[in-house]
Amino acid sequence: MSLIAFCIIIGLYRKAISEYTFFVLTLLLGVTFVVESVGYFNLWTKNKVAGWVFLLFLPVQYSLYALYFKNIIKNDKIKKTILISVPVLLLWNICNTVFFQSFLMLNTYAILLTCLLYCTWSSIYLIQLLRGIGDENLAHNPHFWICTGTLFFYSVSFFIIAFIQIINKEDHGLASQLWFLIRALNIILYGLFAYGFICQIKRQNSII
Amino acid sequence: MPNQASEFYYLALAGTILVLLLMLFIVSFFFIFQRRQTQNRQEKAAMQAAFQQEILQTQLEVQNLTMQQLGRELHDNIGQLLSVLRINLNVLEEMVEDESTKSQISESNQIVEQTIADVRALTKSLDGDFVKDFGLIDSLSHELQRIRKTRRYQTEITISGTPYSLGYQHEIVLFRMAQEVINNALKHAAATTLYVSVVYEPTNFEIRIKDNGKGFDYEGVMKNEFAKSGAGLRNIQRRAELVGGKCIVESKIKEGTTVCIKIEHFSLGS
Repeated sequence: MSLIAFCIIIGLYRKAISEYTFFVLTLLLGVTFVVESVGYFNLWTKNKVAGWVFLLFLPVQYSLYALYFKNIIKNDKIKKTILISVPVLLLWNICNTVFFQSFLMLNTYAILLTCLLYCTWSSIYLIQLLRGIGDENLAHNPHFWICTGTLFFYSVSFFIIAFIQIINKEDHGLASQLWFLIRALNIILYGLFAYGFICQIKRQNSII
Repeated sequence: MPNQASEFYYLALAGTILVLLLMLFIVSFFFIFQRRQTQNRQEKAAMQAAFQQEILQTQLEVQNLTMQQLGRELHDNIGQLLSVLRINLNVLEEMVEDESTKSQISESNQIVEQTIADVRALTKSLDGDFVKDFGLIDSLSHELQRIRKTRRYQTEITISGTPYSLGYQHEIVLFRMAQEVINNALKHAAATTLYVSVVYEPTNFEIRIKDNGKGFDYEGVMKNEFAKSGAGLRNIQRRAELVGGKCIVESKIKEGTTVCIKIEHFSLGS
């Protein structure tokens, strides 16, 4: 949570937010911060995961992420695909809620799809980086760190979320430990986000 | 408690593996990126060099063509007119009976004759085919002879080693470079004496052109007055690179200039 807050503070810094992609990311982090706060509050007061919050959050999060990827990926066909994927995910989220998982449950099927999509878009950006090599320093490229964090977080999350329901039925203790692992992954993800934001400020400074 | 401890242990292990995997991914990505970046830079540099070489090659071709055309014009037009003038003077000389006028016409005839010879020599010097037909040494000797004939300059050429052909492409570039160096020495350095030495070694080839002119601050020209001058020298250096060689210039104020064009024989095939 503190890392997210740190990213938002850096994101709100004038020079970082001047780029559209970072404005979108800051907005995404702001929404994430609110959702995580509600989630933690629910967990603290009712001792259970607030599935409905994540159900509502998922389309918003995906839309903002899609906007971010649409801006950093250069290929027009992929850009169109990203845009198309937003209503598809929304539709799938609704179908999942109506036909498969209830409103109060964690919408794992929809989360799994978003995990796959995030991994795909991040991988595409990283491949794009390798193909269109210029003279820029990779260590100072903010999108590299953000995409690496996203790819890593969602690829591992995919497996954890895929098996969490089964594990939860077999061993509730292990399932809760796996959630702890997701928290560790969150630290890595937002740590990389924070570094990406710092790189962006440095980049903006060098441009100015 | 032991169950919880083992769970924590597995979790820590899983966390460590995750971090290591992430690090491995980042390091691998950096490695691949760096390698591609280096490769990309090398390709770009090679492309740029090839482009420069192509420009220089075209420049030389255009220069050669222009000189050849100029030479042809001199030979066919001015040369012909001078010949007609000489015939007319001869006729006039025979027609005139006054001895003093006759002597003046004869003198003019000699001047015209000298001019015809000079134009012919200049034509040869401008004609690139001369290098093709007679080789570098003869062309250089001819060029120096032409300068010597003006009686204002002294020239000398020495050849060491057994001459071998460097190929027309290389020889024409070297000849034009030598011509430019000589021209610079006469035009800018106000030199009166030119020494040219050509060294043929099994692995190296060298042309050294030395003059007794006023010299110049070479370092200053190459470093400080980039915009003003030094373009000619840079051009010569680029041409030397074009034939796989290098050009070394040594000059001191009031001590003359030495320009050395050196190429390694084994690189000529490239």
